[in-house]
Amino acid sequence: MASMHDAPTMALVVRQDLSLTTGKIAAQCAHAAVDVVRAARRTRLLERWRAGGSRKVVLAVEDLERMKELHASVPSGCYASLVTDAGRTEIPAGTITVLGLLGPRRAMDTLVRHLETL
Amino acid sequence: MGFRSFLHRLTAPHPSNKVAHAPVKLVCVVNQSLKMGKGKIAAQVGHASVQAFLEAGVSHPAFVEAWLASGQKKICLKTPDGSAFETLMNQAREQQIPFHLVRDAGHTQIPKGSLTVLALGPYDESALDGLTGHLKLL
Repeated sequence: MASMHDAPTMALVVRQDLSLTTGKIAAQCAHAAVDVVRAARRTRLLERWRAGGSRKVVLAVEDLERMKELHASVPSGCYASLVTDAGRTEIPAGTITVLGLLGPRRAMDTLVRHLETL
Repeated sequence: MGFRSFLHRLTAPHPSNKVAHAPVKLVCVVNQSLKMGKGKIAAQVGHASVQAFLEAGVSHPAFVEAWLASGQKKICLKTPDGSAFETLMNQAREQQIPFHLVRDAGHTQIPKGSLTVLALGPYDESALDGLTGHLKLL
C-alpha cells in the first residue's frame, strides 16, 4: 500500500468569483471528483489513489481566467476535468464552476502550490 | 485502442439492457453537528459521491448508467446530527438502495471516525425523496 507521503492527490479547484452556496460548492466538487475518477478509470494512478486513502484537497481560484490557465498547465500523467453547470439552480447554464485534478503527489503539489485552501 | 481495453472489450460482459427510465439522482446528507468548513464539506461530499458511484456501479449498474447519461443529478441536504444516519441506512437497506457512509480519517478539522456524510444512490428519484423528503437543503 502506498504511504500517505507519496499517495496520489486529487484537487478540486473552485472559482471564487461566483459566490456559490456551500451546498452548491459541495455538489459541484462531487461532480468534478466523479468526472476525474472516470477520466482516470482503469489506471494504476487511480488504484494507488484509492489505496492511499483517496486524498483530496479543496482549493480556491480567483476567477475563470486563472482556472483556464491552471487547466492549460496540467502536466502529462495528471487527469483534469472541468465542470460545466447545468444551470438548474443559482447560476446560468454553461457556467464553469470547478476544475477537478488527479495526479502524482509531487506533480500536484507543484501545480497547485500557489492556491489557497477553501 | 490499447491492448488492455481491447482485451476488456472481448471479455467484458455485455452491458445490461435494463435501463432505469425514471429520473435518477444521488443524495448527500451532511452532518451539521461537526461544524465543518465549506471546503471540508465539499471534500467529504466529493468522497461520498465517488464511493457511492463506484460501489453502485457494481451493485446497481443500470442506475449508474442512467445517472451518468442524465447529467449526474445530485443534491446536498443537511441533518442536525449523525443520529439520522442509522434510520436512513436501515431504510436504504430495506429498499435495496445503494449507500455509502463516510467516516473521516481525522487529518483535518474533526476527530477521526466522525460520521460526516451519507450518500444515497444513484437511485430512483421518487424512492429517495421518500427517504429524505423531510430534510432541508444544505
